[in-house]
Amino acid sequence: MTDLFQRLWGHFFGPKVSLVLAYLTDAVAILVFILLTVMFLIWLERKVAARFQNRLGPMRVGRPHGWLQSVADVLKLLLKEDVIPTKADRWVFTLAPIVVVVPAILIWVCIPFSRNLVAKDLNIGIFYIISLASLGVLGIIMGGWAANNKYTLIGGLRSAAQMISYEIPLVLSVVAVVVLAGTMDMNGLVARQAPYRWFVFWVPVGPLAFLIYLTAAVAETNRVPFDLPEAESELVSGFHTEYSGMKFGFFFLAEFTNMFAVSAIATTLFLGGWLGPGNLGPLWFLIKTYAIVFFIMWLRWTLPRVRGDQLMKLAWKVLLPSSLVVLFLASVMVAVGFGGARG
Amino acid sequence: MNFISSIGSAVNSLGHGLFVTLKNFTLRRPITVQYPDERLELPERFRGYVEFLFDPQTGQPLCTACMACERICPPTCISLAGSRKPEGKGMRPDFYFLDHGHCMQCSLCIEVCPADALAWNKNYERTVLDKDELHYDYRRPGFDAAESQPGKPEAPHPEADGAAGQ
Repeated sequence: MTDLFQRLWGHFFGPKVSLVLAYLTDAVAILVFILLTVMFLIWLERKVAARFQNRLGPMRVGRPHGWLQSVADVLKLLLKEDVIPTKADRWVFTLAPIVVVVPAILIWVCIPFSRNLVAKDLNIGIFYIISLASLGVLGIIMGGWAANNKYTLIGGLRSAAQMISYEIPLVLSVVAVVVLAGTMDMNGLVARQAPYRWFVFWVPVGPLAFLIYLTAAVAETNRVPFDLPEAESELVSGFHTEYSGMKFGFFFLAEFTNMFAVSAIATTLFLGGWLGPGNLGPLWFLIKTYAIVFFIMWLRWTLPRVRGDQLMKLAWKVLLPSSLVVLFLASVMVAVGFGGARG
Repeated sequence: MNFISSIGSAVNSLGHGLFVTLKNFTLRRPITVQYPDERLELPERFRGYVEFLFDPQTGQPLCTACMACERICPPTCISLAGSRKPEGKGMRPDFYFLDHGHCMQCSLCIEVCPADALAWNKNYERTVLDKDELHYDYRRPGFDAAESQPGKPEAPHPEADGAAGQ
């Protein structure tokens, strides 16, 4: 994608300037895409939730089916009074939403929408993404601590425990796929699945790794049934209780960006990324990603919340051994001759 | 093995749950009635306002001013007075006044009326901006209790008038 923009800017400026401008345009393009997608996802979540509950969802703001509802929500958040509790730690309170949002956006640098539509195709792509996922935890702990509220603190700590515990099966299931593919490059991972040998079909590793990844990913993004940190009925709003206005908006943005990013990674790793008939890479990518997003929303409106000890038991006693087994199976598969690095 | 069978049963119950929600998502239509563009279908015996009925052919009220409703109304929100008809036979009401702010919708006036001159209508959109708009004199021409915006602000209060109607 960078060279595309570089050629574009090259019509007006010299090579070095157009390179810098190309990088800036990349960043702007990713930001715009994420913001629009999150606004769309918020609307979609409300509509999907409504249909699961036999009702209609937003219908009035933007007459056909309330599609301007997200715009109204964003405007509301921007115009709200920014409340900081008196005894709160002001610096940490203000920085926490930023620390949560920035890694969520940075993940998108590496995600391939098509063979040529990657902001920067790092050859350690998936490794970079997983490292960034761990940074978000810090922001949640900061948020829970800074509000000077014991329930918020409990919510933040619960979230940290949950996210750290589920990172291990997440990473191990991803490593299993990396072992099978022999590369960490995101576009390389997609290419290894061409034309229809998606990793999810590489029995026995594929489906197991996919299930473990999905479960761990839903837990990582604090979605129901793993939304203990937000536990609306227990902690008001968990670690983001005391936030209002755009700071809360950032937490909200980060949650939806993370959900979409996790679905995009699942698509790239397991469902063949942008592969599909015809030359419509981005369209197939979006279809597959939205299918997983819909599945995550479906889970939300089906399952009750998992209790704290059940959550930790699931991570350490079920997912971790299973992901180790899956990693072992992947290594056996490569040793026998399936998969592994090409050429 | 217990471990694997418990995972299996967990996935099984998850699948059942997902199927139930999917059925609700795909097969069941939303039950929302989008007020005010759409209205609910009301039951036959729904109690809205007490409506004062008129004879469809002559346009005269069916009320014979027997005062039974005024006597039986528990919050005493009905007041009326009657006089002999000009043609000589029977009584007719000079004014009929019902205060909807006090009406408790007990139906006693409708049940007791011997001339069946009162009935329930289905008007439930009854908010007004001024309490006086809830005082209705049914003898004013052009009044229709079945409209959503009932009454006019200058409804006269018979006691304040002093006169017994006409």
